[in-house]
Amino acid sequence: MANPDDIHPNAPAGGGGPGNFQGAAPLGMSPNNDKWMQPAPLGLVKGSKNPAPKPDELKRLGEIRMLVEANNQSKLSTSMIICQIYKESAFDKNAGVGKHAALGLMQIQRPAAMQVYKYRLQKKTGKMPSDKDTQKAFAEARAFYDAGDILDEATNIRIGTEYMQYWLDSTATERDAYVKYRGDGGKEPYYERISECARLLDAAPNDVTILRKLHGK
Amino acid sequence: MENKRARLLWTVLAGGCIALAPAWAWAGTEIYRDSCTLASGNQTSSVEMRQDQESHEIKLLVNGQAMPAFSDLGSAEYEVGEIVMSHCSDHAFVFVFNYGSPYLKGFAYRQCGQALRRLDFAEKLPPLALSRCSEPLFAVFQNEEAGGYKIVEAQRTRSVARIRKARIFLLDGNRRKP
Repeated sequence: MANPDDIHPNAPAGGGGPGNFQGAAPLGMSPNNDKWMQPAPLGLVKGSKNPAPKPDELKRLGEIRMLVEANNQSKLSTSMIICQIYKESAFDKNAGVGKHAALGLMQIQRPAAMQVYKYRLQKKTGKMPSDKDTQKAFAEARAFYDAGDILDEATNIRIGTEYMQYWLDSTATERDAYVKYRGDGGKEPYYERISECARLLDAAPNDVTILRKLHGK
Repeated sequence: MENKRARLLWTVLAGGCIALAPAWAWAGTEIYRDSCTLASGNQTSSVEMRQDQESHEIKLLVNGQAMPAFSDLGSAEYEVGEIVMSHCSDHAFVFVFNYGSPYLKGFAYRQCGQALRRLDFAEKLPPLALSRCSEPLFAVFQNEEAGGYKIVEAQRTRSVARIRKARIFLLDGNRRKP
């Protein structure tokens, strides 16, 4: 049901990654500020919806593929992780900085690092850690996260894929794992989009346009 | 005569148990508690939240009815999670929880007349605003990917460049961060 009050934005051509958007604009920024809530524009360049891949995008895809192959700690395929990374951060290693608490390529939150540290301990000992050991693992995870190491690309992928494996081990199917991860009860077809992207990327490993479709471009 | 007295005693005991059941359900030690009274016209609703120290589960009591805050989270997620936002105003209670996913889980209760409605969402940022009673229930989020805003309704999410202020009320005026 379209509302005449709402104006749909033009799909930005270069975006998905970090813009200059640092939060909702103060309400005084709009020329009609008495009637409208309107943020500052992203400053992205309008263009065709599906431009040809640039050489640096292909190079970046190659870099990410190598990072995933070297650091994937989950049973998910390399292409699934590549698509997930693109969906979450558009391959920007600093994604989320200054915007929200989810950081880096795989948009890791501090509680995710805590979950991973505890789960590592559980897998190592083969039993649920004691309260004391759990608290120790949480303290280590907080220290690691707050030190900023989470923005290191390889580290981010290692933690992110360990977190995905935690969900895979906690659920019956890959789809269920992604539904829990996305947290919306399956309202957004997150898994369907990631798995379709991965299937296409397996067939055409250097086709960056497949990834762009994850951001509706 | 004795039968009558016994029946009366049992009735009083059973009534007492029913009345106290929610309190018994929350008898453990709490590490977090919050409450909000929503009012619209003559109608009021109460939303209470408690987090149990042992299970870490966050429970809700909505007009006396107990339920988990999020039915799809387990104690492992409650244990690592952080409360990001707890907003209470006349018509709305909004709660946002970071359980580790890049997407924060949350819900909003809105009281409009007799209707108390709940909207669930999972977005990277907490909501900026909620729709007024003259509108269907929706929450407004900053759209960090495309600019503008995301409007999250029960069944769908859509993007808009701007939104008329008369349709919404902002949630930052009475935001409590625990």
